Amino acid sequence: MKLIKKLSALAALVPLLALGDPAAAESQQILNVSYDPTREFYSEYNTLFAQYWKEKTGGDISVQQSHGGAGKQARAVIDGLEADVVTLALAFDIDEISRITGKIPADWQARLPHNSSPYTSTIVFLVRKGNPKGITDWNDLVKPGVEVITPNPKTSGGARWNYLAAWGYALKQPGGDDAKARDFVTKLFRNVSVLDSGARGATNTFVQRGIGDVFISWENEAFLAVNELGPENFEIVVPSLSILAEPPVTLVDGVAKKRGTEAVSKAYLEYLYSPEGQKLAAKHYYRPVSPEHADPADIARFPDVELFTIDELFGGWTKAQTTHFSDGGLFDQIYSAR
Amino acid sequence: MSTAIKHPTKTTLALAVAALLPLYAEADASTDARIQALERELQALKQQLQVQSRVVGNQGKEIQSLAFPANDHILNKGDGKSLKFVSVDEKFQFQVGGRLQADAAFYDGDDNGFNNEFGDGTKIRRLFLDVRGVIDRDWNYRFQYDFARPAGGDSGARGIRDAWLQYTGWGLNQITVGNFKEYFGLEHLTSGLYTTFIERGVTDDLFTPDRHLGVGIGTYRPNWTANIGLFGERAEGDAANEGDEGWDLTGRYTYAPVALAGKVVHLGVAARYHQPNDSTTELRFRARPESNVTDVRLIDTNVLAGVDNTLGIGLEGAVVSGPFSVQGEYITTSVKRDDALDDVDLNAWYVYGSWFLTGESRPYRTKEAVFDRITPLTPVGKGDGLGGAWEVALRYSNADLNDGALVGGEQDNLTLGLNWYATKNLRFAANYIHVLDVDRPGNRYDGQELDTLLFRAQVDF
Repeated sequence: MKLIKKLSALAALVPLLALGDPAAAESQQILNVSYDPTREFYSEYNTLFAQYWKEKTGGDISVQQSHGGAGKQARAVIDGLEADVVTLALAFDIDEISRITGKIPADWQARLPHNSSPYTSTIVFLVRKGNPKGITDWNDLVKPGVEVITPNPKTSGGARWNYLAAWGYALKQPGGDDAKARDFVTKLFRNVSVLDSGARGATNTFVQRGIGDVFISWENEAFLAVNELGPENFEIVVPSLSILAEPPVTLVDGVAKKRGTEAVSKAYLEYLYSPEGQKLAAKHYYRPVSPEHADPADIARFPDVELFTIDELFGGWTKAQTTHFSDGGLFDQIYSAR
Repeated sequence: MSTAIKHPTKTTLALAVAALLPLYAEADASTDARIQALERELQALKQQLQVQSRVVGNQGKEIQSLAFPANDHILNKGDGKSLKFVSVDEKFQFQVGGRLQADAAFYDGDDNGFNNEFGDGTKIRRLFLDVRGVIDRDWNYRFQYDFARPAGGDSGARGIRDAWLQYTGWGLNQITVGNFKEYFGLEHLTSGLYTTFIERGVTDDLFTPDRHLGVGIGTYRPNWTANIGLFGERAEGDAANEGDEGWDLTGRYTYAPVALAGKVVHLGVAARYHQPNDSTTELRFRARPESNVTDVRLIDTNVLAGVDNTLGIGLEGAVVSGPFSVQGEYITTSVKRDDALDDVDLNAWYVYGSWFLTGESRPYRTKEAVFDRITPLTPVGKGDGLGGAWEVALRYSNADLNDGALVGGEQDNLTLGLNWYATKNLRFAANYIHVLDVDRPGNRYDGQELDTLLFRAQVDF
């Protein structure tokens, strides 16, 4: 319950932070629509940014947050949720917003450094203390009797990274090809007992409800669980190979222009790349793109792991999404044939 | 000083104690009473605490059951349109829906007395009640009744629309049994709620087979769909035709090299082999002038007797790029008749372009390879202005029922359409339909250049 309590407390703080000072002449409010596990990071970042903005311009800024499965969050923005900025789990969801609404230009990813991803992450395993099932790498997840927890790739961005990490691992094994990878991922999903819609729900399933032997997780979410619940309950297992996850951020031009929040929203995103933003990202277990700005102790926590990229193995997000996660795609085929 | 204060004698002390005793007893009694009162209060508090802990305990259980509800709990899910009941494990679902399309039409025919014939007026085009659901995850069902359809031969059974059961538990294949749309034609298979124009192109009225009782099997992938079905006649029996029912074998294959939100390229081909009822062997091809608020057909083959079978082939294509889209279909039907009678080939096509002034894009449903519901980017009441989605569209359509000795007529139509989607389930549409020409020598409609103004208000839930 400790994690839940802390999270609820933080969640309760968000609206308070968002209220700001309505009396101030230059008080502005922006909405950041984000994915599930960024709650703690943005909660602290918003305060940091508000201080910076006050010092720089004298104006007050309050940032409202919205969190959920990345696919669902993108859908909410498409359906009219007025986000000034989106900070989502993967580029495809922002591409969708761009294509459907036209509120974000098609070349959005080139507007900020590092493919508009100020921090990266990867996929690791969370297991129960003592690692009773002896999980050391991806191939242990397909063994009979191992219960795996991962969210639904149709709704969760993190789950899409999980799925592609597993696929990529199988592909990169000696003699690996698409058929073998498909077989591997099919076996893995046969071991999945609960398919939550978002990463935080899946964390709760594993951590609070005590279901499953191994939870395929964002690295930052795994660290958070271990940190909050104590290393006496869980441990992190780093696989031999994983995927470089790049959660991107961008301005929703159509909304920000309309609301007159373009300058502050841009500054909000750019400040993520500042030494302060980078340091905070590392504190919250995201791998900063400029690690020299982070606390070396925070950086030291990140294990060395061989990472492949989505462009290398899957030809980019659009192709990966169409092949694997669209209706009738490989995930549907695999899941319906379990 | 020692003389000033006398030491009390034993007697005095005894008297004093005796005098004080009742007071002490009185004090003792009052303390007891207070203690008793406190005890009572404590008892009451204990009881209150017990009650409170029970309440808290129950609330805890309630929170627990809300966070992790048991599978027999039912959740209500609203999507801003209709109400859906879903079991927690999503294996069971049930939804009640409906739709209303109210039309009005104003005709301006040539000045030769046709105006009254077309009949300006109003019509409830569709009035559906609709129930659908999922049983144990793998079984879908849907029952629709259209109260706007006139009663048929058998006690109003013409109103039966979708009435089917579908099994989806076999990989990505679906097996469907019941009354449902034959797998033919992009616009035909796209719901009448989502078609760009108020009425589908002339191809639909002429050649597409609508719903029939049958069994079908289909599958889909991200870029293609394939379906085939064997169908009998309409759901309603027709007492006049007592012979063996006619039947259809219909199949459709679609390929979408691009099927992303906002970017779609769709290609499709469909074929339908039809054998009419063996007691009548009759067929008739005719079409309303892309407005349903009239019974006049400018083109009509009249009854073709001695029909052995027909083979219809349909080609379809569509491209969506952001707010722009282009769509077209061509359908040809070859009618094979008895030796003494001429075979005939009939065909029709349409092509149209559409543009969302407010930036929406036509969504494509890959599972069925059809177009889907428009969701306004800014629904009414959410933005600063009027809100809703605005779409303009232009269609050209042609139907040719002339072949050799058969003069059913050839008709060319130009339609200008305007749609306002106030919300995702409220739509208002206006169409101006201009008949460019009717080529039907010897018939009174030959050369007719009808103008129609058609309006629709539509809600579905």
